[in-house]
Amino acid sequence: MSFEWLNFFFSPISNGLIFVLLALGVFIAFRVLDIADLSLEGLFPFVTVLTCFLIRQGWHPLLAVLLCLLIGALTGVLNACLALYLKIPPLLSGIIMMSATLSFALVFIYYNGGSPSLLGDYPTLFKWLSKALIGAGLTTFWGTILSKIIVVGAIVALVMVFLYFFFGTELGLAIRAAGKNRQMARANGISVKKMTIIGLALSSSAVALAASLYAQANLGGTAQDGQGMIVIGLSIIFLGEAILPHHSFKTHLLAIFGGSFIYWYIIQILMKLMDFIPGGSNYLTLWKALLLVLVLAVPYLVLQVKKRHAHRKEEESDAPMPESL
Amino acid sequence: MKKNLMILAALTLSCASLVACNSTSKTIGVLKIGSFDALNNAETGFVKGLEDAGFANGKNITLKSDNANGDGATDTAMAQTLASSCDMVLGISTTSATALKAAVDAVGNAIPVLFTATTDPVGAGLIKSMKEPGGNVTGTSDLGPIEAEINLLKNFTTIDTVAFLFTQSESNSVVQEKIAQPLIEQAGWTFVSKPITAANEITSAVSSLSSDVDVLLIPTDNTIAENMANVKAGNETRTGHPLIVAGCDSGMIDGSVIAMGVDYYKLGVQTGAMAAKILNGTKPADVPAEYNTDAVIKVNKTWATSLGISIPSGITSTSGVEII
Repeated sequence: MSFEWLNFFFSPISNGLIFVLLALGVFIAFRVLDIADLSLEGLFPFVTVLTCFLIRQGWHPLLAVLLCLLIGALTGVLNACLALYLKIPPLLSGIIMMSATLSFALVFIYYNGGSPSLLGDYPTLFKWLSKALIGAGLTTFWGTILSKIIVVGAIVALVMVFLYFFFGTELGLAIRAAGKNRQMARANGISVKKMTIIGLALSSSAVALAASLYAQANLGGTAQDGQGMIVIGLSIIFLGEAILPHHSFKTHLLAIFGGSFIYWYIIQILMKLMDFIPGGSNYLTLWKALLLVLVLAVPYLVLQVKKRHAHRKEEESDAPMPESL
Repeated sequence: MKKNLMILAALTLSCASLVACNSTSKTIGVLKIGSFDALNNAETGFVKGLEDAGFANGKNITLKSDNANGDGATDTAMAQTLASSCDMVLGISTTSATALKAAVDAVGNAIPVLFTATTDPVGAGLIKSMKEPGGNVTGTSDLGPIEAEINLLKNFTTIDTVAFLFTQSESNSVVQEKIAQPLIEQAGWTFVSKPITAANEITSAVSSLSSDVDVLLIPTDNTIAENMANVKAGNETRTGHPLIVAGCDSGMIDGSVIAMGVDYYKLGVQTGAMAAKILNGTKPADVPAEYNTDAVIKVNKTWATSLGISIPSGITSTSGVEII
């Protein structure tokens, strides 16, 4: 039974790391560019299915990831072009890209004889390391989980450092400006269209990277993989923002990093609680909603109480002295 | 208030029983992707199958049931938890079964993984073959009884051409098309494939089939199962050339002449019996994967008569057939 507790503590770390990448993608679209991009619910399963398909065809896992990154970028560019040049509202263009990419997932499933594909004994980005670790005397559990944490951790670190420096360059700042205030950005000679295209391409590549790693970590891809991904991405961002400080771009990125682990530990704790309620997991979505409300509302309420307290103190000290008659 | 107390008491009791059982009995984890009739029936059947073999929840085994609420990421996380905390796991639906297999592989404890309500376990990479699953995975497939249905259709002596109507985007239907085609050709009939992409195409797809077609075979296909009224409407417009509609889902009986379907409860019972075998010491690799053995057969005589189709006695006299 010791696996149970090891899994309890370590699986949120390996899941959380992959979902940092997803949340960063959502963050670039929703927060930096201020565009509600729904395409990821289709892009995600497309990439998971494609990754499995490519690896089963004999592609090197790294090449598969690179192609998926490219496809992510292409999705973002197409999505932006639909919105900018064909004047389709961004929300709708996201939905169009979602259906389009989901159809591609179905096409690949069709060519695989109608089944979702498992990676089973095929090579992944993690297997070489887990084999080496197990060879060095670790158990399968430790070898597998550590290989995921090390490889995904390194990729996440690279992506976060890249994003931090990229959004500090002239181009990155222009993208941020275009998202913050379109008119002002245009007045300063920034091409808002170009910035939106680059921003969405970045956002979708991050999502594609997350999806490709997700498929390799969980050894399979199905058309259902995208369900609920936007909610997870947004929950991670809001949780991070509600609990962790995020006053600068760097801390904002770190808040999302932390938010992902907070989210997965919440889910893990909920699943543990479900063990004690027969049939409890039938209402998991409801419990998840309630717990999210709680986690999001408490910091706000605490702040409000603090503010009121401070305000009252201020009022007391500022109160004019009662004038004597 | 009283109600609250009752709930509290029930909770405490269930906690106590869980704690008490963990130390003595084997834990079986059940994961389903969502709460649908078919999946719920399979789960109930699984519990019954185990009970029939002498394994009762709370006595000598502990059942842990998880429902992913249709969410892929939750399915994966639940699979990881079950794989690391149970002695055997059952995945209901292809998605849950594949997630469990991957999670068990990752933990490396090689506990037995069972699957049910999975149409094509070999194609999904769960097992090597139905007869010799290999590894630690086995279970039951919910593939529609297409072969049995085609054998039943052989009772009609006038059949020449069979059309196969299916939704292209449903992977289970695609799998069944690949199985049906050789069987139909072996029977000496001409095979016509009729794919659709959405429910609104059903009526015209049926009515536009050439007059050579005698039988319309429909696989286990969710889109068509929900829209049998359209099949009926399409068939009614074919004056003089009514189709013998044969559906691979007992829910398709309204609009079909014959409907044969998987009984998910019985499929669950079958899976439960396999689980009991493994609990008694058989290796999963030595337990062959199974198809549904007890299909429900329904014949819609009223509808057939109104179309002018007479049903051969070979069909009506089949054991277990339900005539409407």
